Amino acid sequence: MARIRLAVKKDGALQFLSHLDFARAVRYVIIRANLPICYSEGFNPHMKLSFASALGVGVSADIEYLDMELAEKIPVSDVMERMNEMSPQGFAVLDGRYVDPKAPKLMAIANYAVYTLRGPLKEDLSQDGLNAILQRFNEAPSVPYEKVSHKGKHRVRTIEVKNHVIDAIHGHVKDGDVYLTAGIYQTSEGAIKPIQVWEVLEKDFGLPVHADMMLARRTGIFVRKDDGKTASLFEGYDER
Amino acid sequence: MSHPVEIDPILLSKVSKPARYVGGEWNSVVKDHDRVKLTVAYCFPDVYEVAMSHLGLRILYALLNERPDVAAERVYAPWPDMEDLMRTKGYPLFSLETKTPVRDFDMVGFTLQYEMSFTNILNMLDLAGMPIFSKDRGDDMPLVAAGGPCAYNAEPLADYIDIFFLGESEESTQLLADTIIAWKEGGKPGGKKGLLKELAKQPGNYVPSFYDAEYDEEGNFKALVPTEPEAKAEIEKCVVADVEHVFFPTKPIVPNIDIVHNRAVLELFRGCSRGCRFCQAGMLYRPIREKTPEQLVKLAKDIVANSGYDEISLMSLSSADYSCLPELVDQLLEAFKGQKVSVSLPSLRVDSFSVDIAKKVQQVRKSGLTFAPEAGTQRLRDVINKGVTEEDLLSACENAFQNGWSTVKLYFMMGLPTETDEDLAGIADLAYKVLNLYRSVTHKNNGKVTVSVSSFVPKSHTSFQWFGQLPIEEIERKQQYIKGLIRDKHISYHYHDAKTGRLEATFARGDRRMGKVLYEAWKLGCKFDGWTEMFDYDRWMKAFELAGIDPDYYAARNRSLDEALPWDHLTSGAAKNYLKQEWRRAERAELTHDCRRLSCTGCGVCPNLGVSIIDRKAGDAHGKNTFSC
Ligand code: SF4
Repeated sequence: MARIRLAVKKDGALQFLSHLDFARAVRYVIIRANLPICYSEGFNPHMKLSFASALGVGVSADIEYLDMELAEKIPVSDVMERMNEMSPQGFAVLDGRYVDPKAPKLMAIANYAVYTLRGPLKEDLSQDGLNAILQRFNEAPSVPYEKVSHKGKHRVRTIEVKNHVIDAIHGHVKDGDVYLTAGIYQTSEGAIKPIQVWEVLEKDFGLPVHADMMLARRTGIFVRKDDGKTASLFEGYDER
Repeated sequence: MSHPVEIDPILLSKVSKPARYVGGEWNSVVKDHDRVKLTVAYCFPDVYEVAMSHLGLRILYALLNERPDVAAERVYAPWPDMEDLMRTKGYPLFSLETKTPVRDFDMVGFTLQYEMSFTNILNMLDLAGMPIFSKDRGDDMPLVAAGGPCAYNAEPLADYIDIFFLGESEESTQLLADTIIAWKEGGKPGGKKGLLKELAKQPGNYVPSFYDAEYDEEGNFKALVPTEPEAKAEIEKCVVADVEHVFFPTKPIVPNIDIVHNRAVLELFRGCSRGCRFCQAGMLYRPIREKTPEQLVKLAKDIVANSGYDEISLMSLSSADYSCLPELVDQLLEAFKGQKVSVSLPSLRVDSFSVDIAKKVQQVRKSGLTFAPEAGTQRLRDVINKGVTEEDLLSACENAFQNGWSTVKLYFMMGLPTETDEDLAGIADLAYKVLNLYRSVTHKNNGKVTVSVSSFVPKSHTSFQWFGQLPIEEIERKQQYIKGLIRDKHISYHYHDAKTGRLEATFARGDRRMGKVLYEAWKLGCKFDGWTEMFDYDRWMKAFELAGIDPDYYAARNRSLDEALPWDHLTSGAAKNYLKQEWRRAERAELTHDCRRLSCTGCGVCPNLGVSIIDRKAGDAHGKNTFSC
């Protein structure tokens, strides 16, 4: 049995899929590619396939990682080629390598994601104006975000945005849209969603956008070490 | 030059399930319109998840796209939130493949699967920026066509649709495409009307504007009179004689989001000759024509390899009637051994044999089994010619319970001709018998019986087409009556909204004047009427009032056997006299046997259309076209 790790993308027609739908679409690609994928035991066998993250509806990704277990170690280039031939618009396998079957799950190691957020401006905003807003955010020692949960009782939970957005946010204005680049760090308490960062910037820092009009594209996902350095999810888990 | 509709993804991300509107699915076909001679937009008047689950349109889509000179694309009804976005921003209705506005296609074809989708057709035409009435659409507008079961009673849509296609279109669609291409290349002689005249000569094609409807002094429908020489007095359905070799798509479009039936589909056979007297499909799709198991296994392998689906559904009107079903199931299980592909049967026959098959394909008894005895007493089952006995049902259930199933669903109808309260009590009685059987077989008390009762809608082209639907109050009384008889918490009882059934009945036996009601209803905002949360009966009643039409005239009136019917000119090949004879036999509770097993019962389809029954097992004992497998 061999464990292969692939870097893939999710965009175009697939950007509007929920994580469950995306995972199903990938399963179909794997079956069409006729790969010797392993299944779990039991009455309801599941494909041995796992992802680094659960990308939400509307979130596209230049890069996402997945692990799958194959019964037979076929060359990485073959896996890539066979899957790419069978991929719907919006999906592609970009890179891959076999990893140690005992390596920790992708979900457990991927803890830092970088996004580009785009949304239309409500009013004119100069680059200087944008910089000033972002500077205030970047320099604020604490930015609380109140998350209202609708499940069960109406509960409010406060998230400290600064625990998750640990690098400065940059941005620019183009054709009436504002583009921001933000990294989101996942702690033991979880993470914050890109749309929530956007909302905070609109509500508390006066970014002239609509709180609910934004699309996020994830440009990278990494392992962020304690020293602040980031590493690719391919690094350090090579087969022995 | 047509410009694609571009919707800002940020706006799109605001509607529910935006993936419904973006296309890009595996096996969808995108062509350059400048490189083809004909463009066709296939429209299904319901939302993506429902539309994509429908086999008929998938067949035609793949069939036309096989041709290098044709581009066929899909268009589905936008959900109201998307419609709002489109109307506010001025986006016209567009196709999923190239996002081309619908009004820029050569032909726009609607599929008519159920009456409750008719308002969506009007709404889609309007969203496309096209006039709703045929007469208002000039030569610059696409040809608007429609086919599917509801085309057999086309009259309520006669003012909106340019041409209807009756029957199975795999072969006629090629001729249609050739005709339109030749007409375009010939400089469109005679304009759209010239094309319609040409098409009216071809089998299965009905051009409603070439006929006038006549009514007598009392306002009863009298006749449909042809006004053009090309208009035939009777339009007969198209039928595919050789089902074994007819085109079947092996590269199904694989949706990116989950849909109602998200699996590969294998069509075992066409038609059904059991002869249930309430069933329209049973009359429309005769005769029975089966594919061979070898052909089916070959198709199944291709479909799975090309789609990635891990489930294959064996679809047909009554799949358990496939003559080589055990062989087929064995061969499929063998073919997909080790591949985690499961086989499913959408409907079971009420007998122990079906349960044996279900046992084989459903290794885990996760879902319950469904049976449809349709009526509660033997007498009424004989009236409707449902050749099923209580013994059949109980032996099927016994087999199921012995083999680990604990849930059984039973489907019934109410409001059938000659029905009395005794027949309804029979429904409750059967449910109890099944539950007690579970207890005695398993000595457990965790069995579950679900009883689902729909209200009967008399349909055109059936032997019950003369029977008037019962008043809503009476249906509701019957629903409560059954409810009062079911008191065990292991039996759950469901019934359908009587009002939806009422509306369906008005269209199912309506004439051209129903078109006005449809228009008023659409103007009042009716759409997605098949969706409980969208259906507004009061609004519909307002529409009837505005149109000056009494719904009961169509739904509730018993019609006399000799009155002219608004669908007499559209025929499935079965003789009206046969239906009359069946109606009389129903009144006497006399059974009519299945013509594939014994002698021909004389419906007329085979001689009229020059086709014959193809049964892969029956041998050639009775002079019909049969083969053995
Ligand atoms: S013509 Fe005879 S054999 Fe053919 S479908 Fe009708 S009843 Fe059956």
